Amino acid sequence: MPTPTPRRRKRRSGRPVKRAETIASSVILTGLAAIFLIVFLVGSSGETRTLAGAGSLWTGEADILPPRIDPLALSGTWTYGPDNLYEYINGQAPHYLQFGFEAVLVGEYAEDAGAMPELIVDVYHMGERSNAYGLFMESFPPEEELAPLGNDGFYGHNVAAFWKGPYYVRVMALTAEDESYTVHAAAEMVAERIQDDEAGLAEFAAFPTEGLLAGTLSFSKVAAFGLHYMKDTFLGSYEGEESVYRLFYSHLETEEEALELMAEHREYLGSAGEVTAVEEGAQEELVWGRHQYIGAILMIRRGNLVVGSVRLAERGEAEGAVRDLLRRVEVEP
Amino acid sequence: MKKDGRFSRRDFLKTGPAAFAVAAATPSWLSARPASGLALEHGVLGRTGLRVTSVSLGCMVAPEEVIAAAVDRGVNWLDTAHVYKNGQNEGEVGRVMRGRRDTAYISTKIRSGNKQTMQSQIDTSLTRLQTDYVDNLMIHDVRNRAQVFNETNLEVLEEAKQAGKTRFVGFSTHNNMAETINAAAESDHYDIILTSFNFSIANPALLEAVAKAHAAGIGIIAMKTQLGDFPNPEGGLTPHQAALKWVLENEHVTCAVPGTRDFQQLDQNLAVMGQRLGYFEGRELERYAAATSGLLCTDCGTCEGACPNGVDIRDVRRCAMYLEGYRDPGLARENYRQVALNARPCADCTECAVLCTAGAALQPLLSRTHAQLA
Repeated sequence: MPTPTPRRRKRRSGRPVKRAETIASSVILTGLAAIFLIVFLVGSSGETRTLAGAGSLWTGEADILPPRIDPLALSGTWTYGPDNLYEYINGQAPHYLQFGFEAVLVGEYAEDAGAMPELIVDVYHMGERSNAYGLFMESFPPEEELAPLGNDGFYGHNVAAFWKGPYYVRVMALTAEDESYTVHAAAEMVAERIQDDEAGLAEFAAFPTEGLLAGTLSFSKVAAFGLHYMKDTFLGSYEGEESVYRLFYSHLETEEEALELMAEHREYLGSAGEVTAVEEGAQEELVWGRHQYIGAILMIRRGNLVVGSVRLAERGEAEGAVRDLLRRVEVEP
Repeated sequence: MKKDGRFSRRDFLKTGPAAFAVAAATPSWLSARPASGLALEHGVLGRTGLRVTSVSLGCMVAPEEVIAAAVDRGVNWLDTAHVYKNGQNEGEVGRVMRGRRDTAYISTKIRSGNKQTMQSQIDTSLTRLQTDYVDNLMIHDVRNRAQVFNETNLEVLEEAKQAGKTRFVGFSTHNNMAETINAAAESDHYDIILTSFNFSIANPALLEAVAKAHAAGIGIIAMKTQLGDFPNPEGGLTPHQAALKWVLENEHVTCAVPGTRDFQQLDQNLAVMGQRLGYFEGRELERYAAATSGLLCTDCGTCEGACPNGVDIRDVRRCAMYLEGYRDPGLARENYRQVALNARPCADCTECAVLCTAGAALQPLLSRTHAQLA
């Protein structure tokens, strides 16, 4: 077997390298190395986002839970706050947190103290009535119908849920057997133990009723329509001549907040769609434009109030509808 | 490039300076639109052979408009579940995917239960999703080895596959992930696992299990990639993109499904594709991990010190996990009865001699567990 001949590196022969070239090369290489090091160390621009803050923990509304739901008795209670809600409902936690979740009181019901629980009552304290309503409406099963349970509720197979006051309540049977009757009775018992004299959300009184689609009044705590700057938004959907459109408003804490929201809207719409018109007066500000996925969007700010429409394609029609809602919102207490 | 199609750090070294030159020459109006010209990164999802976008979409908190935007931008794995928003979320995905079913894979999950209930969940989900089949059907929230091998679950999944209601099957796991993933790797029942996976909970046992499952041909998808919505105890922001990059650095994870509630988050998440974790981002993550440690027990087995009363702390903590994490008091009590030296003495201690390296306050946890299980 022949011994392989070791390869020899060819030595370059050429003109001698000048000192100036060496220095220039060094500078370029050092510069590139510095640039590369910066890119390597920093990575891409890392924008960050604010997470839901920790709210107050449960403060003793345990008497909402009935001591007995015949034939079962309360066998254990648990509480979870924003920091450990994941341990209870896992991946669904963000949905609750974004609606202002503060704490949940979990009641387990069993035939006797040592037995496995057969029924679970979850009482989610959402801080405000609008949050409880918003969560309920976003968690409403498409197959069910609204029922007069609490302020609004539904009865399903082995499950019932409702909102009343600042609470979103869910009752479930932990059995394969049909225990719907017990579950529904339990939900009604819990609803009766929550004191709340208001029938619904007063905030919806401002929405015009003509053309309003049934069951579409909703409340979005954050990011309505997927717009990160929207918050505490009340919405309703309407039957338009060509398609369904939406009206909305947001009553912000201060005028500065509203100004900031409009500024963000202008900037974002400019980057993700187009801003067709911006009109700024002494009392109000109007932005008219289009978003690739949301469609035509018109927003008017007056004071700390932001009112708008989505998917009303004609400017005059959109402005008319928005100004009508604006007037109504300002009149409502 | 890595074998699953992703860029490695070496690739980055090769292309980094050129990419920087392009970025430097990019006008600012274009860089304000991170979605335009988006560089999609794909990986092969285990034995399924599906090529999925490394950053995909956890649909639960996403409005329809955001789901539509994600699909338009090429995201091709949509994760939803029968229970998300009590079914509304599957409805949202269904409306977005109507008329373009072949542009993205749909994965949903059903709860374990009796056979009839599970089959009913599948049919209801398909109706909501407006499709005859899903690409992946999972058992929701599998928590231990026994559940991995649950015969009813396996039967329902297999029948759904045979009936053409799903192409592949799997499970999701949020607790005790190492045990469940290892069990799955030993069987040939599952094609895909959706697991909690982030910089805070990826202990050696979990990393090893993920590698083992990947080697067995199971596609690994990561969720809770940015540590969910845990607030930062130090105040301020969380390093969101860095956390996602950290997940995708793991060569056994093909895809991540971060929950995405608005267009801005979508832009931020999708921009991570093809990016690597920078040094300072890594340090920032370390600081954040330290600040949030102790919020979850990872069963890492690195407790320091010994109890002077001989309390078997790991076993008691396991029972506490069954009790508070699994919410299974029967299982917790059954196990607690078998703990030789339980937490009875803990109530008399003011400070625990054992230190949880993750920062959990052990004394109140152990006392509470004993009070509830004894």
